[in-house]
Formats: sequence, C-alpha cells, structure tokens
Amino acid sequence: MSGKDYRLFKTLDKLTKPKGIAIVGASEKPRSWGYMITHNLMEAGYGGEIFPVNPKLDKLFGLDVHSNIGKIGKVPDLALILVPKHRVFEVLEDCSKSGIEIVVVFSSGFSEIGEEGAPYEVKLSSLVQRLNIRMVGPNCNGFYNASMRLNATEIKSRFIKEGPMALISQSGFIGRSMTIWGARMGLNIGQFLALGNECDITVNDMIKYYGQDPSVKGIGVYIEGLKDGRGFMKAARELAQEKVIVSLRAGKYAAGARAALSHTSKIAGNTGVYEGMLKQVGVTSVYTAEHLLCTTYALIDLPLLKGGRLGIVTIGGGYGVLLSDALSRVGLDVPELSQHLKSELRGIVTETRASVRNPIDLGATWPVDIDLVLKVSELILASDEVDGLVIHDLIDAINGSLWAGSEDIDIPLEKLENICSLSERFEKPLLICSPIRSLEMEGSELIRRRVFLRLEDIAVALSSSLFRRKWKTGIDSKIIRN
Amino acid sequence: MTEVILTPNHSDIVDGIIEGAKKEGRKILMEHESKSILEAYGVSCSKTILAKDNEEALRAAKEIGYPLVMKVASPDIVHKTDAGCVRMDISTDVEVQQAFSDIIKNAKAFKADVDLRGVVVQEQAKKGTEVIVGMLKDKTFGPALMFGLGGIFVEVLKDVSFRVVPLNQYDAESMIREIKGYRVLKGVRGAPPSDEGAIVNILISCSKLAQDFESKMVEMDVNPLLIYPDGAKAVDARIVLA
Repeated sequence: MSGKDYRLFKTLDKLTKPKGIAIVGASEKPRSWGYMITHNLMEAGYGGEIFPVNPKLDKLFGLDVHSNIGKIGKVPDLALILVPKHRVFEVLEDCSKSGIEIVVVFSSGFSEIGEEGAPYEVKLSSLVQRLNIRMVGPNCNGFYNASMRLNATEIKSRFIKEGPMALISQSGFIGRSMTIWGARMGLNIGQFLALGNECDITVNDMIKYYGQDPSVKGIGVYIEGLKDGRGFMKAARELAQEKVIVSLRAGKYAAGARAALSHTSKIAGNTGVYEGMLKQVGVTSVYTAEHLLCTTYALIDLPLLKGGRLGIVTIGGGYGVLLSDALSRVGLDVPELSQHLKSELRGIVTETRASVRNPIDLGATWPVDIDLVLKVSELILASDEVDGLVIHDLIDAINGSLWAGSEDIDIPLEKLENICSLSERFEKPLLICSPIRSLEMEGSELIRRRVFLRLEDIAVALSSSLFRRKWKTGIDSKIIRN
Repeated sequence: MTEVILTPNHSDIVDGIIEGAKKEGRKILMEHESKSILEAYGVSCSKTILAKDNEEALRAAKEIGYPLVMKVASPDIVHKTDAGCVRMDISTDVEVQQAFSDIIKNAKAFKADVDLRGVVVQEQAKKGTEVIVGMLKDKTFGPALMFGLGGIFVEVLKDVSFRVVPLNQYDAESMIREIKGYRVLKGVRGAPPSDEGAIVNILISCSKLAQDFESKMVEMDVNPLLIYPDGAKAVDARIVLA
C-alpha cells in the first residue's frame, strides 16, 4: 500500500466510521434534503454526536443547532454540506479552519448542469486542493454504512441492513431502489456511496477503499463514465482475485472521438473496448440492477462453477424447459444425464409423470415431497455429470399459503437450509428459482440469498460464476456445443 | 506458452521506418512499410519486395516464386483495387512485366502527379481462414486490440472482441474464443482447424508493438490475416502514425 493510499483510507474511515458528524444546512422543512438527512441520521441510530448547523434554527429534532461550524466547540470527523451552491465555498473554508478532513457536498448546480455550472466546479476543485480537504461530490445523493447505523440518505432506515456488499454509484438515484429491493430480498447492501460529480474522491478511490475493508466481500459499481480508465483497471485487477467486483453497465459510456481512418476504428463501438477491459481485470459485467445484486451475492456466497454443465430440478411443468433455454442463452449447458444416473434417479423418483433426463421434472405431485427434492439433488450433485444445480418452483411449491386447502403447510425452513447447504457440501453452486417468492419471505440469510425471482437472474449469476472461475485460474476453455 | 520471436533490433527497425515516413510528412505507412514493422515484431507476413522498375520486379519474382500478387506502392493510393492497381495470379515473367506497366499506367490515370514509389511484388498466399487484427487508441484506456473473423463477420455482424494493451496469454485466448463465430476457427464444412496458437502469438506481438510505440502509432489494421492449420500470414497491413 502506498503512503498516498494509506492516507486516503484513513481519511475515508472518517466518512464511513465518523466520530461526530456536522450537517451544514440542516432544515426543518420536511422533504428538503436538510431535513431528510438530519432526520435519518438520527433515526438510524448513529452512535456518535450529530451537530446540525443553521444560523436560522435553535433546535432540530431535539438537538442543539449551531450557527456556524466554528461554534460547535468540538471537531466532528465529517461534515455534510447541504447549502445552496454559492455558499459551499465559505462553508468549506469554515470546515478547514475547524480541522475537518473530509466533507460530503450534497449541493448541486455544478458540472452536472453543464457549461453554466462547470466554472463553479473548477473553483471548488482548486479550493479543496488548497485547503487540503477531501470531498465527496458535489451533487452527492448520500451514503450509508449499516454496521455503523449511519444513514445519510433519504431512504428510510429500516431498509438499510448489514451485509458483505458495498455499492458505489455514479448516480444517486440508482442506489435508492436497489437498497430497498435488496433489503426486501435479503441481498443487503451494507455500505453505499453516491459519488456525485467525482470532483475529488473518485470511483477508483472507493473501489480501493472498500477493497481493503475486510467486512466487504463484494463490490458493486454503477458506472456511466471513467475519468481515469487505467487507474480503474489497476484498482480492479489488484482486488479482483480476493474480492468480487461487479459492474452495472450504463451504456452511455463514451469511448471518445477517434479518427475513422481505419477499419478497426469504424467497427469499434462505444462499448466494445470497455467490455473487453472488464473481462481482462476480472470484473463481472451485468445489465440490470437486480442482476447486480443477485450476481454479487451468488459470487460471494457460492462455490464457483468449475465447468458449464448445470442440472435442473423442477417440481413440475414447463419451467424446466424455459430455465434450460435461459441457461443456454448465456452459454451454459444442460446435458442429458447418463443412463446410469437416470436409472439411479428413477429408483427414487417413482411418479409416472416424472422425467429424469435433465431437467428432472418431479411430476407435480402435491404436496411436494421435499425430502425427495433433497435426495434427488444430492444424487445429481454427487455425480461428475454436472457442475451446479438449479431448483425451480421449490419455494412456491412448498408455500401452503398460496394453494387452496393447503394453509397448514408451512415452508419447512430447516429442510430448505439442508438443500441450500448442498452447495457447500459438494463445492458446486446451487440456486433456487422462485418467480413468486415473497420478497420478504422468511428464512435465514443463507436461504434468502440463494432464492432468485427470475430465470435470467439465475442464468446471469451462473455465467458470471463460470467467468470468474476462468479468470481466477487464468484458463479459458469454451464449451463447444454441437 | 506463447513464443513470440522478435527481431534483435526490432525497435530500431520500426523507429527507422516511422521516422522515414514522418520526414516525408506522411501519417499513413505504405503496405510494405507496415509489413516490415510487423515482421520485426514476429508477425509473419506474405513475402513482399518493393520494385522500382521492371528489372527489380523480375528479380523479386524470382526470389519470391510464383504465383504472385503485384500492387502499386503509393502514399496517394489507399484503395488499390479500386484504382486498378492490383494484379493477382501472376505466374510468368511476361505477366510480371505486363502487370508492372499496367499498374503504373493506372496509377498515373488515378492521379495526375501521383507519388509513385514503385510496385510491390508479393507472394500470393494460399487460402486460409481470414481474420482481422486491429489496433486503436481508446480515449479512456489507450491502445486496445480488436479481433474478428474476416469478411461479413466483422463488416456486417460486428462480431469482434477487444482487449486493452498490454494483453497476456489469457487475454489473447479469451478474446479469440469469445467471438460468436469462433467455431469457424475450429474448422467447419470439412475445413481443417486453424492454428489458434499462431493467432495468440500475433495478438501478443501486436500488443507489444502497440505498447512500445504508443506515442507514435495511432491505428493499425492487419487485414486480411490468413490462418492455416499450422501458422499464419499477414497479407495486408496498414499502420497510421500519430
């Protein structure tokens, strides 16, 4: 670690684990940022002191409000700046005089509005350099750290839950729905930061920072453009062996102007080089927010695919075929099982309607024999004919509350855990596809993080798993299907 | 592992060619110049000799052996076939002389005061699987390589892959395998499989070239690059200077 990085990390610790936070521009107007952030900081249960600063107020949410940063009497680790653009500069000077090392500027109207705002950002950039103060933003939408109960966003705190994943975003808005959806699914985003305009602290800085945080096992990044592409490559490549890094592509990535003198230039589109680059540095690429969460967690939690052959077990119906198609679309295989394995399966799957070719269709008996599902899964995973397993419909089928006359049937959570744990037992990934799973379904983290809603969520997670395995081992062997 | 054999004084050779072109105020290198650069970096090219007159052309033909391709060497003529300045399937001395004068005539017809360096006499490569290797400068990442199968695969289907320079062995292998038409390289319709290892070597060579001359080169096309069951040969190449 370089001295520069060391100092950066120490300063960023004051962002994610601050002892004391000042909110300059705290407000009593509901739905103003100054209100929402102050309210949430308090409500989330942050253990340190909160210092609202606003010369027009005396008290806010029971806290003393100070007229000025200098009047606080103590030096908070962090200052959040929510004042109108033209006042940001004097506030920064005040922060610097107080000895604050890092600020988050929520204020907008800088380079993000175009030519009109750009000069302000240039001014801001030279100011922070002169003052030797680090800045997130401007135009930052917020950040949180669940384990510190630190919520500096407008999102209600009950959605901010601990988890081994961090999300870095070049767009604040993306973080909001992802946080909530993730929390409902059990795919918690433990730490989040919206970078704003990246005038000072950049995506590369945050990748390195979260990368050295032992509580972070996976980093999701939403990127629209990179100012320092090679810096990104270096940061990602150095971390990617140990940490999962998943990139949500925005598609607006501008590769920049090129003289179209050659063939190559005319063909190279905006995204080609960027996508190739991600593959080189071990970063998985996905295209939807849901995939970002599902894939990051699948890569954190599960053993990586050693090959591209998947087994499918369905309780009944055509989903087996749809799932098979979805897996084929991403280049994975659903091979027909050997005679030997098929007859072994036929030995335990006695339902006449059932099929054991792969997909294994258990014949839609009701109620579902979950012990049978476990035995079938064990048999398949134990063989060397598949590298991973997907079970379809399982949760829906055993949720008695959904089906007439079956209200007495509860999801047998312990048996479900046993099935999910087959991943660890056989060192092969197992995922459950459940289109109608309740987002807030019961069950341990182990279960909830392995039950995805859609075929494509499963397919993308598994193809990413194989990509990661190949990248980590530096060996590429594509499966040729005839 | 990859075996990329570079000519001992490869950097000097390349520098020499580049500086020569710059002195003449040229940004686009001629085919034989680009090929010399590639050869210096271990990329086999179809044997190419620049002939300034009939005698040199005949000597070149003897050295290379029939059949031959002959093309004009002129910085002014980029699309040589369109200008009527390419002759193929040349298999006798008489044809060499005829081709030479035809090409010169058509070059002068194409442009009145055309900058004529001569005629390039070139080995007519055997049929192989056509691929394209390109280099471009990405605004964010710098030099990057492109790979694709030749013809409609690249032109129409845009079935190409990219990697940022420098590439390692894994990068080169995976960029080849990720194209949709990859199976063509494995051999389809009775055609034998292509030497993937040769493509990997060429990608690594081009990566090294792009890296060493990052500030001086801005674009490169090796098109077509013919791949055989054993080895590869660049048939045409173009390098654009910064």
